[in-house]
Amino acid sequence: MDQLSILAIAAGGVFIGLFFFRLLGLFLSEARGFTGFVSKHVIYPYVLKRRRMIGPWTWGGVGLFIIYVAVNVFSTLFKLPSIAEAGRRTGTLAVINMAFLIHVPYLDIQADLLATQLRTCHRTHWAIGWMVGLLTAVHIALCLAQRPNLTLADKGDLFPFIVCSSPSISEAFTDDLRLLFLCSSFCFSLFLCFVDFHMIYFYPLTGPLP
Amino acid sequence: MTCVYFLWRHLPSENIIPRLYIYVPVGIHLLTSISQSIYFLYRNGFLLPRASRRAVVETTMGHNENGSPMIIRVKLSRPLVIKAGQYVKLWMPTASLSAWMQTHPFMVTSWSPGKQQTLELLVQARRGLTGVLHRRATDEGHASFTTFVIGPHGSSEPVDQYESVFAVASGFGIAGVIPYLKQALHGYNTCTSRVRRIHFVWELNDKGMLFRCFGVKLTSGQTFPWLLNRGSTTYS
Repeated sequence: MDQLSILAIAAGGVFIGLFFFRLLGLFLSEARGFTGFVSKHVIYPYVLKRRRMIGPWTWGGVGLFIIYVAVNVFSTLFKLPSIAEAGRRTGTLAVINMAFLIHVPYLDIQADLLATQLRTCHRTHWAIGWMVGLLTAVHIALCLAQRPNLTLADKGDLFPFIVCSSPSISEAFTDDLRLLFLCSSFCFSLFLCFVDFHMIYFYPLTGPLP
Repeated sequence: MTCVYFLWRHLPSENIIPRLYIYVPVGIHLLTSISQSIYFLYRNGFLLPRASRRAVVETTMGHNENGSPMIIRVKLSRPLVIKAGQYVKLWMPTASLSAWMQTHPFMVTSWSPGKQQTLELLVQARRGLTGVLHRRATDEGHASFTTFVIGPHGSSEPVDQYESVFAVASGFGIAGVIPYLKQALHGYNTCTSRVRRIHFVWELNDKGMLFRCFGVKLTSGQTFPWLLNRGSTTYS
């Protein structure tokens, strides 16, 4: 994608956004009854009430989260030519999603800028953090499937390992995702040890592998 | 920073697009951080020679009890407009050993149609910083700390556009309702809002909480002036 395409997409996005807000203003007076219906049946009823670790989840929140997951899955799988391309796409999607986690120093500013509640920003942050974690895990798995003989001596393999094990990335996420990242880093380390140890099986047949 | 740097190194350098996904959020992050830092320095009067950066913590309890109320009065170096429902973050670097790396959000219970010179915060003493503040204030009834204010943050609901206002609070949730009630009563008294009726429900597990918060003793059926303005509350 060249610079002109980016400019065209950005300009188009601005115009579509303005047009959307214009339409929203026109239909706002007519939509009060509809918003009441949506609030009563979608926004306020709980699917899962407040628990110690998770919740509360409303139907609207769950629906938006499913749509968000579906968009990411669709972006990964649409016209997928190969497994390597899937690995590349999941990595790129993880970076794109992560942009929404690091663009403000703390979430109060984001809530003020977007004129939303801080709780909404916390939940959005939580959902995006989980998505980044899952996409990164899939990205790592697919890359390992393509090229299992990874070694930390190679900078190309060392840098992503540092990214995954960096405490700063886990700092941006919730406690659950922090744990997930620590686990994924630990599993990645174990896998590297396993790959090195795995070569011993081929030793009687082929001799020492390069 | 480590994560972002190594992620930047990990992304392919042949094409600018993947790295653009890092440049844009990092640019926004830096821009926001710089603007917030400048606003923080201005708000706390770092350029003023005799700026006041003190907060006085007052407590009515004689012993340290988890959940005890405290009143924090923050004297601002510059007057600040706080809308009802907004909160500020306090940085009290001298309160304890680890307090210099903590900021804590507190709901502002004072309200004024104009700028405020002193903010009043109703705080529930828990563990951590609030526990330290309560412990140090319990000895003499009050304690003073160097305090820096970050904010205000949060949005405000336009309650003055409605004739009937229904407010529900539970326990220390009253801290979020008080400024709205003050705003509504001020609007009613000055005929600057549409508010005509306020229905206020406050669930209290402890009868003594109103006394500890506002110095008012509850007796059943009692009607008493509420919030020093026109209006009354009946306890049942």
